[in-house]
Amino acid sequence: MKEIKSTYKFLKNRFVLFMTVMLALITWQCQKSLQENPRSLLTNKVFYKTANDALLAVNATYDHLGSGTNNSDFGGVYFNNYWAIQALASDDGMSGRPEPNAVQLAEFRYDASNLMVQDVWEDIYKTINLANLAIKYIPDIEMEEGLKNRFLGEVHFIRGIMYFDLVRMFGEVPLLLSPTEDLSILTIERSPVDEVYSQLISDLKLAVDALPVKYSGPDIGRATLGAAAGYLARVYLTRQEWEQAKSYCEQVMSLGVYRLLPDYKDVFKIANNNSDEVVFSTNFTLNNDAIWETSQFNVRALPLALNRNSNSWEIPTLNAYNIFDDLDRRKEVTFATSFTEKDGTVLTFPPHIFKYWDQEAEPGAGSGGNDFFNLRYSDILLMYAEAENEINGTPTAEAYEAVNRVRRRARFAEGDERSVLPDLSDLSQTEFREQVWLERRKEFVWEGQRWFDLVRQGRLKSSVELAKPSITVDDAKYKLFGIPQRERDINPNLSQNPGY
Amino acid sequence: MKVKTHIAIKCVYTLIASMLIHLVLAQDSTDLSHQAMELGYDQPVNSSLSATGINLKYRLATTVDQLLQGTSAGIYAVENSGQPGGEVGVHLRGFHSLIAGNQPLYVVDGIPYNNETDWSLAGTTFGPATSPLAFISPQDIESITVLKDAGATALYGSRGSNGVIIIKTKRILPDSLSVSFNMNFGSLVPMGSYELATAGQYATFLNEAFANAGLSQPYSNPSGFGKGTDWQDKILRKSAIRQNYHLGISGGNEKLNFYLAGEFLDQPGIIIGSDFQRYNFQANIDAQLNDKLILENSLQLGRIEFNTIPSDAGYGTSDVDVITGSRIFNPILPHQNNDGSINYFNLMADDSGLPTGILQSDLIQPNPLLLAGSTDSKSTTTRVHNYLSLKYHLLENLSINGAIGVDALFNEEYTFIPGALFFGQPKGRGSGAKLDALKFTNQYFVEFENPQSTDHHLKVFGGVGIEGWRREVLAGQSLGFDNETLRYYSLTVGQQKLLNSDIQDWNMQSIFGQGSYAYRDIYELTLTARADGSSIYGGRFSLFPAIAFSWNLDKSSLVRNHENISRLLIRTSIGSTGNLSIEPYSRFSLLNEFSAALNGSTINGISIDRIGNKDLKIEKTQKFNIGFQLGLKDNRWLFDLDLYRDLTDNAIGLRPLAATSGFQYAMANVASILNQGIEFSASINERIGVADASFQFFLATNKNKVESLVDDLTISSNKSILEITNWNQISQGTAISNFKGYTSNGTEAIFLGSGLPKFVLGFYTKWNYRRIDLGISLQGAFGQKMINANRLLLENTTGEYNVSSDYLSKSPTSIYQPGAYSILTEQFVENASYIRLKNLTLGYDIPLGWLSKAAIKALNIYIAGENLWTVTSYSGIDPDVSHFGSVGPYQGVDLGSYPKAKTYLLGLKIDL
Repeated sequence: MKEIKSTYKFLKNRFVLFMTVMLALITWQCQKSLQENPRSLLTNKVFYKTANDALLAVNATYDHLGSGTNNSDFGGVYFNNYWAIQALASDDGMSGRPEPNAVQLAEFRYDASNLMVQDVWEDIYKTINLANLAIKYIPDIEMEEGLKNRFLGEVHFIRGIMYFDLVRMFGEVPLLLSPTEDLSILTIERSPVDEVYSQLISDLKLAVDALPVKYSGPDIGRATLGAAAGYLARVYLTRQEWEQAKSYCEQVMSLGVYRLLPDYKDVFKIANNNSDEVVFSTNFTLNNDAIWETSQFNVRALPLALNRNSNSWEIPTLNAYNIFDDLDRRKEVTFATSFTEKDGTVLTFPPHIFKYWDQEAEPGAGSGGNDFFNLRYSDILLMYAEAENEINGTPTAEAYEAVNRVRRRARFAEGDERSVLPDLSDLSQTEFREQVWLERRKEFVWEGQRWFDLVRQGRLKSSVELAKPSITVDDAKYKLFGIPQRERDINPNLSQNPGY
Repeated sequence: MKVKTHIAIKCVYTLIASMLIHLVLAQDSTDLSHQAMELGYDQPVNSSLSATGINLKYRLATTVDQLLQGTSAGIYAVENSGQPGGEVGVHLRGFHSLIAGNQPLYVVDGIPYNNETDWSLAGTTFGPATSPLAFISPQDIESITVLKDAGATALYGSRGSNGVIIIKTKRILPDSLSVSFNMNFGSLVPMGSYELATAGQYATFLNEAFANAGLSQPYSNPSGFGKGTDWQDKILRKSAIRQNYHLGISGGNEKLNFYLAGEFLDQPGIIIGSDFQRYNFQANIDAQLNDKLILENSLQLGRIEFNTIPSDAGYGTSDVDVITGSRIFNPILPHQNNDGSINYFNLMADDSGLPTGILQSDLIQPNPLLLAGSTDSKSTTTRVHNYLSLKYHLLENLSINGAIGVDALFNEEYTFIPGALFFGQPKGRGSGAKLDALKFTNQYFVEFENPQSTDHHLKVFGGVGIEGWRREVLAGQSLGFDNETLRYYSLTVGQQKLLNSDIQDWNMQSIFGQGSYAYRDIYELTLTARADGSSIYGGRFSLFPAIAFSWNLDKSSLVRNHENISRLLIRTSIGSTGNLSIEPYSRFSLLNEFSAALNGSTINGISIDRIGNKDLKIEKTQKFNIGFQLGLKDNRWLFDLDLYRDLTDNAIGLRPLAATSGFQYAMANVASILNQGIEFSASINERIGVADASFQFFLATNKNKVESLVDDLTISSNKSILEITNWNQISQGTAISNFKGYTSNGTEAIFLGSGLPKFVLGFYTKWNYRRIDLGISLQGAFGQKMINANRLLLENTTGEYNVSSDYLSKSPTSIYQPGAYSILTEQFVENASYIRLKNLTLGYDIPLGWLSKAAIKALNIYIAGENLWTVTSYSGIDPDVSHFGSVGPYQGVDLGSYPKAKTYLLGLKIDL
């Protein structure tokens, strides 16, 4: 009995204490339960509550036009592949390196597995999803209505231009208007071209109504009324709805905030990003550390021989180089075939694109402070001239004036007028159309327009075969890009374009 | 409703706990006999569960996981990198998972050990991961037991899928009071290096390349450059001496036993700039507090400090790591030019051997000597790991166990890269990071065992457990140092600072039980079940049951009286286990910061960055096993044969999404993975002539196969080797490692084999003759392929990188064309089968003579060699590497792997 008693005493004194502590601990642990508590991670539960959240959601959408911060595939929509494809798959550009995807594009041998095309598709849909999120959540945020409308206008604008790029490149595409929030919507089908256009037109029209003409201070660079109207002009021009195209051009021209800079070279100075000539651009910064916020023009386009992290990835065709008059200011700004180093060493190379290199601002090149010009005022003028010519069956005085403004500017080099590019006059409708198209080509080298223009003008095959004599273009196939094979592997409901 | 379930579970716990207490107080028994101190449920004692012990004596290892190579059938261990303290990929019975981890659960002294790299290191240092097991001194280990089948692993429920490794530290040395001191010194020699072109040969090669590209030849007298710089030799540490001191003291009486040990290990890397040190203390105490109550405490106090270099998959800032750099760097350039200037980058050399301003290749490659020697990457971690358990005998047959464990880690890391190593815009980069991780374990169980004397032997236990993990990281990075003298201690000097803080936690609650019944030791049936609920899967509970049966034929009338057969046993088990090793919050959609540019400045944005998957389920492996054991000559000859089939369902992977969703991947349950094979082991102990000899032989096959993949998709690797992507493509019917590449002419896409071995073997023999003992161990793996990506660079046709002598001997045609894109062709995928003399130890017991008067009980001197000899057709330096660590689908890649060392060791062991 003694033993039992002592044991019991022991239990009472120590073991009970121990067990009580254990029980307390176990209960304490239980109360924490098994629910996740992601304290350092942002989830929907803690976001889309305030006006500032709305701003951040809109900003993220802009990010995916340019830098694409969190994109595993290097950059956003207009970072590189978009404009590289426009140059390669046209009479303007060739691949300067044996990179298979680029070579296939330049030689019109590409198929639905082309990774550069796939990258653009992926970037665009990622941007659309970000816009859809903002469009879904911003309306319910309690904030000042005017600002809310502007925010919604901005993301509708972005969604609109995304679908415009998609429908032009791929034809029928899946039309997603709400964000992906779970894994249920994975097998969406393609929508008819007209449906996509009517959606993107309504997005852009909403933007025209909601956006301001101008911004000030840190907001400069955001989408404006002019940007939305200008894009609508481009949409209607592509659709050959000339009256509408002309009317939106006029709306932009009447805003009174845009002008051509006096010298073509000025357009590409980093200090002139968001200048009066820019209707809409994708902004980049000369920020050496945030590398994805810098543009890639110089990294890709400047010659390898320059040894400045320049790679000759895409180079112009001789045809593109030779169409210019030698005295055309745009030729010397756009291209170079030699470069003199400070120590006098002269490097020579085949024509390369030099227009994006602001040598004063970035002597080292490669840092990439240049914006990507989605829409310049000279484009508005040329679209206006083209529409006016089509509407009236013959060039009008207004049409001549518009195209001649662009030509006139190209005569000036640092204030001196050269005897080149005389004002156009006395042309037939066809001659005038050809001249406007030629002007477009010279004006917008490496600005992400050429393939779109050639397809729209119905002369992809003839132009490419002229510039690249060894190549035959299957016109029926290459008037659209193939729906990326990866998409079709995953989504069995996606049909393919003819020829792929 | 969910909340209610949780409350219910909570209440069950509380109820059980209070019932236990009640039981304790209500019971009133006498006559408690002194029982062996066998606490915890971690060691199956039943023959129906297969558990393999590992022989430890003849291995020298820096970390515990290194001990596992070639020591047991069914273990395939890859020493991923030769970096001191580097992680070893340990794989039991194949590869069960795609991305949720393939490493087994380690249970150290009864407590599941935190062996997750992310949860023990902030992870900012360069180079491959350091093993979290590096805290344990191999010399403190008493036993290692490997659990593989369902019967044995089901008890570990949601963490048993990849097998379980039970590690027990020493608790008492043979005598009541003993002191054992062991010290050794080792010399490290690299296992090998690539034979490369000399400067003269390389200049000739470049001349040809330029000529073939239609350019003028840069070198007028190429052979005049002679041998040039041997960059591989430059980065080697000239004298790498490993030292290790270990002191163990144990003692006690019937009531109290203790084991105390201290260790210091200094392991330099064979490449400059890398090293590893460990300071470790182990204090184990067992106390019989009274005739009913037993206490056991295991305390491990460790500190590791290491420096790493950019090697393997972990780079600092350059495109190429130190090791690769030392091979491809221009041999024409010296480290330092005659005018005293240093060659910082891999540039073209001019005709006089001086650097031009032109990069030699597309890859930006800093001088490897500087990249290893003048960058900082250091990590220090202090770890406290304590496990306290109490066992109370309510009755002779009934005991109650309670245990509490704490594992606390404090890690600090610093890195610095001098500005001179950034090409283009010089700017230094420095970082500092702190990690604070805490793991808390708490478990209780009741155990019942009826006396063994009867025909019916019953053992039952069951209980509850709770585990909580928390990890906090605070990290800062600074770029653009105006002044670099203070390096990472002056992060404030940098022009741009990035800060990051993070907290993660997860909890697990468990109920477990096991019952086994044996009839006359002939038949034994064991039922096991564990239910785990983890916050990682939203608190959903999963049940992991198993049933195991064994038949001891040697004890039955069938063979009982057969003279030669001392043991004949058939065992089988079937059941399921899980694998929950994914990051907490993996089910959530996450928002992230996006920084856009606007009008020349950066603006911030926030939006979705990862699509979640609330339906994510835990991976479950159905395991089936049938095994036979045959013992002859009183079990001096013992043979084991096991056949196993592990089918993992709901294997988690990155499911490709149509990009129209805005995402490319989502974490999802994507695959079923099958691993099946045969394991054979033989153990023979005999006296041969005048010597005692023992032999152990292990052979295991494994066939890994993707049984099904969601929507019949093909899943490609999203990691790239140099510029090669999609080199691993799995689909239904392939192994989870399945190389995709091209025929040697580059025209046709084909599959190029798997990085997983078909069979693995181990052999170990020990001889004792009088005072001399000799141990030899061999390990080998066969049938696996290796992508030798080093050769992709060293056999370039463009002249961008230095080339191997082997390649030159084939007189290749070269064309200078920087940035030519490479593809994976079949000639770079090699057979990596190998067999290696892993260890050889020769010991001698010095006759004590007068020393015995000085209280010395034994004095042993030994020499040993590690990684001595390898037979392989693999053309790289070492077939036992993995560039991407232990992830299953990324096995079989060799690129810039830190070279392993051959170690020659001299040691002395004194027992007092």
